[in-house]
Amino acid sequence: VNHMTDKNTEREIATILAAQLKKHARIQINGLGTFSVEHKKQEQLQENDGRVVMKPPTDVIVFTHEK
Amino acid sequence: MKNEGLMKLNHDEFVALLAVALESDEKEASGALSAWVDAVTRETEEKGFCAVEGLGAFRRADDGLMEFQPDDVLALEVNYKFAGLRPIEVSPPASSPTLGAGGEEEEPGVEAGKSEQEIESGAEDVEHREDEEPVFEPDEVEPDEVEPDEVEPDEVEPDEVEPDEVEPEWKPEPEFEPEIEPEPEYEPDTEPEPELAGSGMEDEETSSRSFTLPKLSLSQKLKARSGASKNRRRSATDRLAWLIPVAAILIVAVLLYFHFDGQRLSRTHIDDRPIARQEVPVPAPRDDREQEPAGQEFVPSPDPVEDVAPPPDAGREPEMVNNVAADPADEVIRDLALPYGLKGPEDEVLIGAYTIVVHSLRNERKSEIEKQRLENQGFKATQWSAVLPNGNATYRVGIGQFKTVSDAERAIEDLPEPFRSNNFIIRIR
Repeated sequence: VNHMTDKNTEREIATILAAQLKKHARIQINGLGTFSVEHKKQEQLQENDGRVVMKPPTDVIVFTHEK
Repeated sequence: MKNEGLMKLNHDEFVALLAVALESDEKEASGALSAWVDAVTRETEEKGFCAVEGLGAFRRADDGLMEFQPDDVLALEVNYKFAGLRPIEVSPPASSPTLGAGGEEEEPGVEAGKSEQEIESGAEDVEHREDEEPVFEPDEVEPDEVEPDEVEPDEVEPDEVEPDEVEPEWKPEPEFEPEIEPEPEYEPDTEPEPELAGSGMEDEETSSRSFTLPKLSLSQKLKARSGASKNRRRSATDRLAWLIPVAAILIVAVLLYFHFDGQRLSRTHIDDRPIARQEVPVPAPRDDREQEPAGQEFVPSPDPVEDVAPPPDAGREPEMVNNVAADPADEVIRDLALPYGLKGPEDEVLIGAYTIVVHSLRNERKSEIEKQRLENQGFKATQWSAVLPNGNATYRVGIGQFKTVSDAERAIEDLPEPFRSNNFIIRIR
């Protein structure tokens, strides 16, 4: 979107968003949506072949679009 | 589970931060942010895709909403605590025909199953072949030892026919068959047979001679009835004299066989019982430890790993499993001797054991401090480093050592906050 908005502005927006997400902050931006970090706990699952595996926990970025 | 309790940043707060970054006022920053949002939305709608450097990419979903795919570097940074972790195989497939599929090490349970399967199917590896060979050895040897006996009747026949004068009188068998009824008359000729009874070949020889006797029948019978009883006795005596050495040789051979191969024979008989193999218990913990995914990224810190005692199951030989681990009491005693548990000194790190990770830190010094803090609280604490996919190192601190995942999960309930609600279990490697 560099050609549609100021490149410096976009870089600053991305930097702030990334920094906040690394802190696992929840960020709301009007007209766009909400960024957050979701923690998925470690859990045991049974695979199709019968194996029982313990999947590691993860922290993933989740985006919810504002309608 | 969203981190609702963590920091929130609403639109106005974000604008304030942007204003600082742009070195402008909030009104100007708000306008710039709105313009950026409009640009991203429009481009995503028009092209279906809009990438933002350092952040990620927005995509238009089928339902018309926008989806966001974070940049890989950002995703890793957000997930740095758990980066590089891979699933731990807790239990193997119920009917896995292969060992350690998807895992790092073999699994006793499966291994045992494989052994049994191979033994049953005959598709065995060298070790099993060696085990099984003795099973078949006696059966293979017996025929060899019997051979002389089986040949013996042929050799005996000439003895029985020994009188030269009888030989010309041989006639086609069919002619003599009707006259065979008085077989008892030839019983004296077969008197030496009881001497072979000890060899166990009695039945076979008896059955084979039933076919040879008719050949001798008529002429010899006539000779005998004509007063040649002396010759017959001599024949019997000669035959007896010939059979005695043969029988003696056989007995000696059998005795020598049992003398030198007695152990193999006895083991063969034991192994021959399939139930004995199935009853061999295989310790459950070894199943867990030897099925860990091959790609497990955890690398215990060099210091504890290099000094650790070998894992409880390392180097265990199959015979040890059969003879020692078969007793559950022995296994319990052995486990009690190992430093499992949540608290106590960390005298040794048990490779293959499970631990509860409560810290993943970028700073090594800080991780050492946290480890010391946990030790001061009486916990078994372990600190090690792990290399993340981006090449950076993270320093993890774990509490306790546990034989199974279930043991670790139970121990978590005894942890104080925040560790109780913020942890994960990994295997020490």
